[in-house]
Amino acid sequence: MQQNEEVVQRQKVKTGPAHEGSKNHLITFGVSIALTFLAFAAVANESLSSSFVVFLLCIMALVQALFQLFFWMHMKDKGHGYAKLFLFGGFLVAMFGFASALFWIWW
Amino acid sequence: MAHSHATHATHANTKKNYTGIMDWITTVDHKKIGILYFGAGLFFFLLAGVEALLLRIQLMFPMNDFVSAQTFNELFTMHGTTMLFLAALPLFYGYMNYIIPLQIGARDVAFPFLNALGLWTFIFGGILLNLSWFLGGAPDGGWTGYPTLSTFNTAHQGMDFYSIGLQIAGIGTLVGAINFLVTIINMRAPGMSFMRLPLFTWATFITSALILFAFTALAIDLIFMTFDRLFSARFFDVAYGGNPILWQHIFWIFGHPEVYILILPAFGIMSEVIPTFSRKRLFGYSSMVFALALIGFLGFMVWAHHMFTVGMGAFANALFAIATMLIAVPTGIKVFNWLLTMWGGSIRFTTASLFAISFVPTFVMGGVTGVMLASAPADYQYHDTYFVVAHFHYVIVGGSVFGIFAALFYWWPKMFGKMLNETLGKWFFWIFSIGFHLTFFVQHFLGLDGMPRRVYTYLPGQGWDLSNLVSSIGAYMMGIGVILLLINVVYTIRKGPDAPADPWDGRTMEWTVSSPSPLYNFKQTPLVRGLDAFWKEKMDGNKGMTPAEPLQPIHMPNGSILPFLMSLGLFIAGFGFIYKDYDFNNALMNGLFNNYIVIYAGLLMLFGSMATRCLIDDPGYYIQPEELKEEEA
Repeated sequence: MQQNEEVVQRQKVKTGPAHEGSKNHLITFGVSIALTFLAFAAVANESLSSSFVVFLLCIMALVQALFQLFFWMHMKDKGHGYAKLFLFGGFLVAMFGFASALFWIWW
Repeated sequence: MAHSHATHATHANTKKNYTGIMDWITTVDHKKIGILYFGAGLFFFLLAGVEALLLRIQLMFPMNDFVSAQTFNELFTMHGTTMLFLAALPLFYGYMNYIIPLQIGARDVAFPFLNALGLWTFIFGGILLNLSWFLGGAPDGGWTGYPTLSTFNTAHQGMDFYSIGLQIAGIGTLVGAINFLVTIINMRAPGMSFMRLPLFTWATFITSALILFAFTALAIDLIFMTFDRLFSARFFDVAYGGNPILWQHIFWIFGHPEVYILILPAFGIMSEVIPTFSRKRLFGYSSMVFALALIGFLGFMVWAHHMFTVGMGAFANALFAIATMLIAVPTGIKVFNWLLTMWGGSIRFTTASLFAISFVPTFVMGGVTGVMLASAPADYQYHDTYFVVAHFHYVIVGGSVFGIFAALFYWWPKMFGKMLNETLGKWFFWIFSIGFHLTFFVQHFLGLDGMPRRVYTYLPGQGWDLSNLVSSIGAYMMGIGVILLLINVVYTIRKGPDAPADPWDGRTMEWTVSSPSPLYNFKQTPLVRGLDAFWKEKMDGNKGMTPAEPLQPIHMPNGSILPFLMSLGLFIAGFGFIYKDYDFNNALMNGLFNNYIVIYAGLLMLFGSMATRCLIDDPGYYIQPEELKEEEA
C-alpha cells in the first residue's frame, strides 16, 4: 500500500494536478456551437458587407481553434510538453508548405 | 498497462478466453498483432511481386502482347500501391509492434485496443483495394493517382477503390503511428532515457512523427479525389476553377515523407544488425540520432523535386534542388557510421549480416542517382524515364526490402521461436541480390537511352531489347530467391530447431526474454543502466537485467472483437460509397446501394461498436505472482 501511494504521488508530481472535470469542456463546446450558428447567420445576412463577414469568420475560427487546442487537447495544462512539441512541429511544417507555395511556387 | 496497483486487483480479474481463430481476431497483444501485420504484409508483398513479374513478362520482348495496355496500367498501378502501402510499411509495422515494447522494457504498447484497430483497418483497406481486380478492374492511374487521368475516367470504379481503400488503410497507419509515439514517450522502463533508446526505436519514433504529419496530407488529397469522383466536386477540374496541380503538391507533401517513412525503419534495422554482427557498439550513436531527426525534418522540405518539370519556375526549382541535395549530408553521416562500426569489428557473415552489409553500397547507389535527379536541369532529361524507375527501386528494394530481409532473419527467432536455415538463407541472399542488380542496374541505361516509364510496350531496334530481356531475367531470379525464402519458412516451421533467448549474442533488451516472448514480456520491469542495456549487463557479468520492481500482479487487457467490427463497418460503408450511383441491372442490389442502405449499415456497425466500447468498461485482468512462479518451475 505504502508503495502504491508513493507511485500515485510521483505520478501527480510528474503530470501536474488532475484535470478539473468537464465544466470547461462543456462551456467551450457550447460557445463553439453558438459561434458556428453565428457564422451561418452572418453569411446568410445580406446586409453585412462580404469583407466584414470574412473578417468575422476568421476571428471566430481562430477562437474555436484555440478552444479546441487549449481546453479539449489539454494544451493549457502542465505536463504536455511532448504534445506541444508535436503541435508546434506540425505547425512549422505546414507553415513552410504554405509559405513556399505562396511565395515561390504558385505563380 | 504497466500499472499494477494491487488495490485494483479485485476489481479487474475477469479474464476472457478466446481460442483458435477468434483468439487472433480479438487479440490486443502487441506480439500477435505484430505477427498479423507481418503475415498480411508478406501476403501483399507476394501479391505485388507477382504483379511485377507479369509486368516484366510483358516488357521482356518488343511489341509483346502478353497483357493489354489497360491491364498493364492496372498492374503497374497496383504493384506500386500495394508495395508501398500494403507490403513495405506493414512489414515494418510488424517488426515495430513486436520489438519496440521489448526494446524499451514495456509490457505492451500504450493503447493495445487502438493497436488492434489500426491492424484491422489496414487489412480491410488493403482487401477493399485488391477486390477491385474482381469487380470490373483495378485502379489504373498510377500509384501517384494524378488527375485529370484519375478523376475523369469514371468508366469503371478502379480509382474509387484506390481513393477509398487507401483512405481506410491510411487510418490504420495513422493510428499505429500515434500509438508508437505515445508508447516510446510514455512506456520506457526506468533508466531508459531518450539517448539510451536503441536505434530501431529511435527510427520508429521519427518515422511515426513523419507518418503523423504526412498521412494527414494524403487523407485530405484522397478526400478531394473522392469528392471529385463521387460527389461531383471540382477540386481538380480546370473548367470549373479547380487545379490538377493542387493534387500533385499535396500528394508529394505526403509522398516525399512517405519514402523516408519507408527507409528510416530500415536505417534503424541496419543500426541494430551491423553492431550485433560486428560485436562492436554502434559508431557515433548521437550523430546517428541527429541524422535521423534531420532526415525526417528535411523530408518535409523537398516535395517539389518530384515536380521540376511542372513549370514552377527556375527559382523554386533551384531552392528545392538545393534542399534535396542537403539530405545527402545526414545520409552520408549514417553511411560512414555504419562503415566505421564494421571497421575493426569481428564480423560474422550470417544471412542477416549479409543483407545489412550489402545494403550499404546498394543504398549508396540509389542515393547517388537521387542526387543526380535532384539537379533540376538534368531532371528534365531523366523525368519519367526508366532512370527514375532504377533510382527508386535501388532505394526501396536495396534499402527498405534489404532492411526487411535482414530483420526477417535477425528477429525471426524472437518472433516465432525457431531458427531459420542459414544455408538456404545465404542462397536466398545471393540469388535475390544478383537478380536485383540484374533487374535494375540496366534500367539506368534504358532511362538514359530514353525509354519512358509506364509504357506497355516498345518498338524493336531502339537499343532497348537486350536490356529489357536482362532486366526480366533478373526479375525472375528475384522471384526464385523469394521462393527459396518461402521454402525456408515452411521448412523452419515444420522442422526448424528451437531458438534460444539470445541466438545472436545481442545487445538490446528484446534478447533478454524467451523466444518467443511470454505474454507479459517482462516478469519484472527491467532497470536500464546504459546504452545497449543487455550488453552492459553481459559485460558486468550478469545473466539478465536487474529488476526495477518487486514481483507483483501484472495488469493485462482483455481481447476484444470491436476493432475487427469497426474496421468491417468501414469496409462495408466503403463499398456503399463506391457503388452508391452504380446500376447493377438488379432491383435488389440497386435498392440496397442506390438508397445508401449499405452505407448506413456500415456506419451503424462502426458507430455502434464505438458506442459499445465507450459504454461497457472492460478493466482487464491480473496475472498473479503465484502464476508467474509456477511458470518458472
